Amino acid sequence: MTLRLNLFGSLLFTFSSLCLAGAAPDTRAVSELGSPRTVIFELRAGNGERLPDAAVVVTGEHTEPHPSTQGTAIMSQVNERFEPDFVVVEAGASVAFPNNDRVMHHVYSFSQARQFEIPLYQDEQPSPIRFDRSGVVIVGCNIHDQMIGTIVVTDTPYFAMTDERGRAAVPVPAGATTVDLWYRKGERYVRTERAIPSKALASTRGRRVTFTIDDATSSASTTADSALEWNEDY
Amino acid sequence: MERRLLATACIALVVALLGSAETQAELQVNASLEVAAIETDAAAGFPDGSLSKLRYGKADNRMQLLGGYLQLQSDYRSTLNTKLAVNVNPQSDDPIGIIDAFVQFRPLPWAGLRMRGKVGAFRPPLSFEHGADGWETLYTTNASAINSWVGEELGMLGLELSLKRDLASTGGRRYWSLGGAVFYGNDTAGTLLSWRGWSINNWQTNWGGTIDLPPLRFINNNDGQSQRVEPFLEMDDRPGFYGFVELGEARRWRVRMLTYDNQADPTVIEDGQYGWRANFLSVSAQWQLARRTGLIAQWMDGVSAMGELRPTGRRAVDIGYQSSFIMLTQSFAAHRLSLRYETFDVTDRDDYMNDDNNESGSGWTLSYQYRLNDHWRIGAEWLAVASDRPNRNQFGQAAQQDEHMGMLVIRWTY
Repeated sequence: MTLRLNLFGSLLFTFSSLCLAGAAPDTRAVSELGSPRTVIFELRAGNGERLPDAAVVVTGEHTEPHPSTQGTAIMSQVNERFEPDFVVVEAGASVAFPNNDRVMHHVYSFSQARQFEIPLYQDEQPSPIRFDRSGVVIVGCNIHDQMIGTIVVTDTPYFAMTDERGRAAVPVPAGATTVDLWYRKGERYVRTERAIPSKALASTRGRRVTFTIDDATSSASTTADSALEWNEDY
Repeated sequence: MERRLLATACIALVVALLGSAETQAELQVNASLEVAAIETDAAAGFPDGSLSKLRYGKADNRMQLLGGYLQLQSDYRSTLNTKLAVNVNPQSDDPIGIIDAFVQFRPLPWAGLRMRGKVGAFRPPLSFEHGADGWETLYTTNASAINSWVGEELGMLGLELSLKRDLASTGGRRYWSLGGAVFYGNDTAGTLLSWRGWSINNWQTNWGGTIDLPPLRFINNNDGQSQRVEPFLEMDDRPGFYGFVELGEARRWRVRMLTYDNQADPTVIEDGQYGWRANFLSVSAQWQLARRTGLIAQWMDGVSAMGELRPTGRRAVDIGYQSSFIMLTQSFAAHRLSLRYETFDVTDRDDYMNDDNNESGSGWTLSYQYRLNDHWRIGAEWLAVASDRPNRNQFGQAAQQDEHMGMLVIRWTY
């Protein structure tokens, strides 16, 4: 069963609920207990390609107590790029910035949610940076100004990154009806909000929601075999 | 004077670099060596006194050491960068010398702006074909005619300042940048373009180094002019300048326009070197067409003149020069294939008929590179250059020459 609606102007919204009896866990008991139900979100670009390394974050008020997912995420530096260049953490979590390059980096952020600067000499493992306020943190490198990373700090644990198939399994608490989708647009990550189809929340069988994002860039350009160099010569 | 200045600066740099081991700064060492098997049909390369567009001739058809560098760099919190690069050019009379020696101040962004200040010996930021380490070519072994000339004849002792919109702290997609420098040295810029013309090579002139000029009758008959040019001389103590503006989007595209004027007094002559008043405008651009496909292009137009003003309103030697290139580069995993087409011209604007420096030509460069690992790269390059230079007649050669060169290249980097 596929239902297609046009929403948000040019953005195309597609919802698919696949009835895969074998793959569908019995979640009735879980939802009756009030625990979050897991929804599989599948993100695709306008051309149909899958969107890996994107994020789905549940938004809105939901009062259920949540298990802590605080920990340490990693945003390393490889070939004068942030790898990965997009990280989502819950407020209170930390991000480590290991330097895996032969050159020095100097990572900084002037974003409102978190301001910091750490010189990253080779073979040095500085302490991770803790992010206590939700918001978007853009990080740069003072030496390589084409290096840009994005850290989204959420005030919810209900989020997940998409895998190589563009899928993210996200626990959705009762009462939540919308998600933020963070996706690559060119060299940046941007956000769009989508409503979770009520059928996905009501269904007790396998729940998969497909969102199509017309202006998303499908293939990440953070690869070592990129065509051009962008060295700073002044 | 500039040699003493540079020597002092280099001693200070070495002390600072060695001292960095005692401080919190990080010392980084980079090195490279490149050798190639060469096969060319050019009669003789320009270092042997020819008017060839190539660096090597038939007599050089064997394994050759193309060049190399050793670079020491120290970063203190990234905000104070000190760099010293020593270059090896086996065809030069000064085979080992300095190409970069500067201290750069780069504070963290402030008010959304990156400020940079550089003082020392450096080149103007003209080339998108070269990398930062040792000013080494990135996509081909031989640079375009424009950037070959930059490697041969442009270098200065100066102060460079720039301001750039910082993308990470502004959250913007596109940046702009403004910068410029005042400098000493480079008062002979244009000598080589006048008497030898454009060339497609990977030559780098070391500080204080010279390049031999072709044994033209006009030079032989001019007692004051040496048979070689020393590109980085300051002769009139009038500082030159350049300014540039750049627009771009991170890792997508960038366009840079640079204007240069060495402010040299064209009537000065010192130790066989004339002052050449040179100025030019250059526009360089690069564009990431797809993840593995990129385009680089550049255009340059300028003039250079030396000698007293003659009744005709022209100086003794007065040229206009133009060149442009377009290069497509395609990478695939560890492989890269690049194709470049360029045209170049020199227009002789003076009234000395016996010194005809007119030239026009075009060239194709096809280059393949394969990166074996972090340290070794092999490649093959093929050049075809067609050029017309009437002055070749005085060496008994046809003005029109079609020259070709193949290279099998091995490069080691550390």
